[in-house]
Amino acid sequence: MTEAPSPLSLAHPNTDYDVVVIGGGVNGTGVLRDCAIRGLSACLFERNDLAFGASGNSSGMIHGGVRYLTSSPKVTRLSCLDSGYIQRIAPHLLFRIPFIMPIHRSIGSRIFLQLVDAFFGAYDSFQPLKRGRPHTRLTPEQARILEPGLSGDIVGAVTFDEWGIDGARLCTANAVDAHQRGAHVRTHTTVEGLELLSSSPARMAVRWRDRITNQSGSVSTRVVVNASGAWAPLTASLADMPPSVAAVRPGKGIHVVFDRRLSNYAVVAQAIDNRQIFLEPWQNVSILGTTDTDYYGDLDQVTATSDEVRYLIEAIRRVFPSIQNARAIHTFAGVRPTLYAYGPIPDKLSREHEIIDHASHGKDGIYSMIGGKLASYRIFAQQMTDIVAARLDCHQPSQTHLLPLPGGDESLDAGELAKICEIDPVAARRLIYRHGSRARLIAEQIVESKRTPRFICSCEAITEEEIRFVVRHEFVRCFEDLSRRTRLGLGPCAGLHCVLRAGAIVADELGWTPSQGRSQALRLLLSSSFTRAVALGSAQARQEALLRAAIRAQVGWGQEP
Amino acid sequence: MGTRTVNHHEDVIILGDGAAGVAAAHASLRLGVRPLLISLGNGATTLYSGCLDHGVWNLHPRSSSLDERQKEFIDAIDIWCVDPEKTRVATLAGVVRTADAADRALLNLASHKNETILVPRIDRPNWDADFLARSWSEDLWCREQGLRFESFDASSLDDDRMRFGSDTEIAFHLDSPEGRTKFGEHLSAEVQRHGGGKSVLLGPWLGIDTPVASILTNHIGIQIGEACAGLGSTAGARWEHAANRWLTQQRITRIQDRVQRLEQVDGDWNVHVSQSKRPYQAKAVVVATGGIAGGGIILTSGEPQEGNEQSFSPAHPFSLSYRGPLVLTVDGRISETVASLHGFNLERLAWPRDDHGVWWMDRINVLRDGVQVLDASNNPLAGLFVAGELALKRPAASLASIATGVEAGTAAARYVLTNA
Repeated sequence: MTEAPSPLSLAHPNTDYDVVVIGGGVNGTGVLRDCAIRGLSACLFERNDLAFGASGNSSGMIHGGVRYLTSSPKVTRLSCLDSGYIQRIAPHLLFRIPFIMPIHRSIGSRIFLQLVDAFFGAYDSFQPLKRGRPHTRLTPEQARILEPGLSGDIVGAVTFDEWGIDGARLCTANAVDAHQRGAHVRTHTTVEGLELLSSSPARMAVRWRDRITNQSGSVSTRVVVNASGAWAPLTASLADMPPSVAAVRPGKGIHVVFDRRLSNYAVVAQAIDNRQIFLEPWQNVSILGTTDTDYYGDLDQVTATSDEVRYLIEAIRRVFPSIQNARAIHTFAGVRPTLYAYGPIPDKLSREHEIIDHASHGKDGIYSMIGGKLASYRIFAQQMTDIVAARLDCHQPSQTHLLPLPGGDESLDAGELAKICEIDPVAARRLIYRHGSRARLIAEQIVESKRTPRFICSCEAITEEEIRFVVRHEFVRCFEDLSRRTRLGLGPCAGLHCVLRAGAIVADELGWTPSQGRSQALRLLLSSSFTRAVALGSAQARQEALLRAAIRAQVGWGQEP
Repeated sequence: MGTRTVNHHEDVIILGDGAAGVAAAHASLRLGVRPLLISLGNGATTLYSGCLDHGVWNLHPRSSSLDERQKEFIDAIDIWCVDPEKTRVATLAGVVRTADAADRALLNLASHKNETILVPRIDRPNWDADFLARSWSEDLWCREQGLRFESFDASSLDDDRMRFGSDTEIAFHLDSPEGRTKFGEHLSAEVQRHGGGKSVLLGPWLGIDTPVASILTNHIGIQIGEACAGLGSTAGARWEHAANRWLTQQRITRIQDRVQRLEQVDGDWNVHVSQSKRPYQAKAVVVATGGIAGGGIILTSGEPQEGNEQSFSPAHPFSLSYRGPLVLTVDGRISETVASLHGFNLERLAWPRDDHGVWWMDRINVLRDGVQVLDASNNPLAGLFVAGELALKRPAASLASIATGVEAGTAAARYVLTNA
């Protein structure tokens, strides 16, 4: 694990920490970073891995919340404003996703087009907050020129502007920054109990257990922030409160990943139940999403089903028929922690966020963060940290919108970087996307090795040096963590060329034996086999058969994992 | 090729030229019946690792049960060494594995004891000598055997071909006497510089049409051999070359074409292909077109139709890559149309988690009795035989493929002789 610097000087020296944050999603890592910047000593516990839940399994957008423009314009404004701030602190992680919304001929479709046009006209007033371009209204001919894959009788189309982001990288960047400022990050460490040690001033004991080493222990803290997303009610119950005090309405959303960018624009389509879904070009793949259904299963094992995949494909197929011949390589699923309400259909639920002070439940010093979305995580974290800081007599204002995230301080030129370490400019661009200015550190390692760069994963252009860097600096404790940070093993080759070698490198970095590295890599293959299976077509099925043949020939089958 | 139309030219047509197909050709020729091979090429055998087994190597007991016909075929191809009791090879995943038979270019570790085997450090992106040496040394059998692996500097072997070329490009280069000699000299010098050594393990680079491993071993006095790669390695190219050589020697015609349809007409079998208008005809046909990996079976998860509404039609979950009277089965039961317009529940395609679980797609077979193909009412389809993965319930078993190939080739030849 990444070596932790010693904690900061405590505002209140009779506890181990000022703040304990539970949950390593975007809200939790956001609060951790804000606390660390303000000089509070903080520790984060995450049961699985950073960005394991909704943060790492979202549509990968910090969109301006246009869906909520009529129902809750406050969400839209906050999202746009915060989206602008995120661009400022992590410019490398953002990429523009232009959307196109074709309107098909039907009764009243022309009037509908007018309405949509006016609606996005209203959205335009928020766009400058996030450096977005104003919407345009297109004739059917213009729409077809811009997006030749569109089918059907279109009366017109509207385009609008959003930003894409890699949610897992965003969480990691927040955690890394917090860590560099003295905060502690403990992943794969579950909290098993929250006990009040004394009431005024409040002191609490947080009992934890490391799920990898099974080591357990307890730390004391002044404040506990429950930022565990869909797990929030479970976390609340650890403090002997009823789970309902931190109730969420768990909404499962799935996405299907295709092997390449299939369209120029993100295409919006209507599903059979009139929900809006989309196919977006995202990094070097396309993502089709999403569903929104109530989820009552195990939060640690959320996977897409083939029903859900077919629902999405059927919807996009009607406006973008070539999807039928596209190659699905992967699916992912997450559970949104939306604000609790009994009655509304999931799509109509509020995306606003809320902070619950559990003093009213007799647990002074515990707060729960409920709801929220990727695009407004920073402001949510700021609001939470404001409360925590005031309580701890810390009067530093938040600076998370001003200070760049790691790698966000300077933009590098991919061509130059490519020349320095003799790699392909495309590979350099991917490297810079993931690491921003920190890509230079990896490039230096490549140069220093005095070897031809070893690309371990050719789907994502990941070198051995990048894997080592990520393992050393980004809290990688098991093989799947590496995959979550870099998307290694999730490309079209399904891990055929990369996982065994990457497993060996992770093993080397973490001091495991080669066979431990191997069995970790195989575990990833097994679990990702489940996520791929539900979207498998004939080309990917053949890839799957080849992958199994390769594993069987080299490693055998059945003993590991 | 492929424009010539054959009528009764050959007596048996074999579809597929992988291990099963060529073994069938061998067995048929052995009985004096000439085969014609039709294949699109590049099946699962050309991607094999260099090891031949009866089943997945670590789940099946080693076995040398080869009959005379199988031995003759293996001798004819002349690239393998069969010794199930005494075959251990190192894989590029860092594992040391057993094998029922293996490509002779692979270094057989079972013939070494109490020895340090050298692994050259070469600047090659997919070759990490330090990791490989460490990982192989970790193997329990190697430790019991007193085998250690040690990496050593061999920078004089670095050149652009080593850095950027594919495994087969290097192998092709070492096929040439100059390339081979120079490589041997450099390697020998590096081993001397390191302080000497008896054996060196290399990547899959040791020639395609020449036995580079044994030539160099004799020449430089150091035993050299390959580690086994997972997929698409040089061993596959060597197989292709060896199979070609044998087929050419025997003057067996091979048609490179896509089979489209297989039908029985007046006691003969017609094989329709895409590049010829007239079908190829023979008394008997052996189907050895492989499974999912080889391209013989195609997964269809729903048949899209034109138009917007109710756009799918009922479908079989998978099919052969050509039409014919063969019936597909899963675990011996006839595969049916799925009761869904969108195909079967794809969850079934996930890999099984238990130790002996066999992947669903590996359990697909042709309805058959031994190698005799049956119709849906279990009656033999006279003159139609099946071999290879379509006749095997388990995957990754090249020796089992060869065995069924021999069986099917023999049965087809006998059928032709009795019905002549």
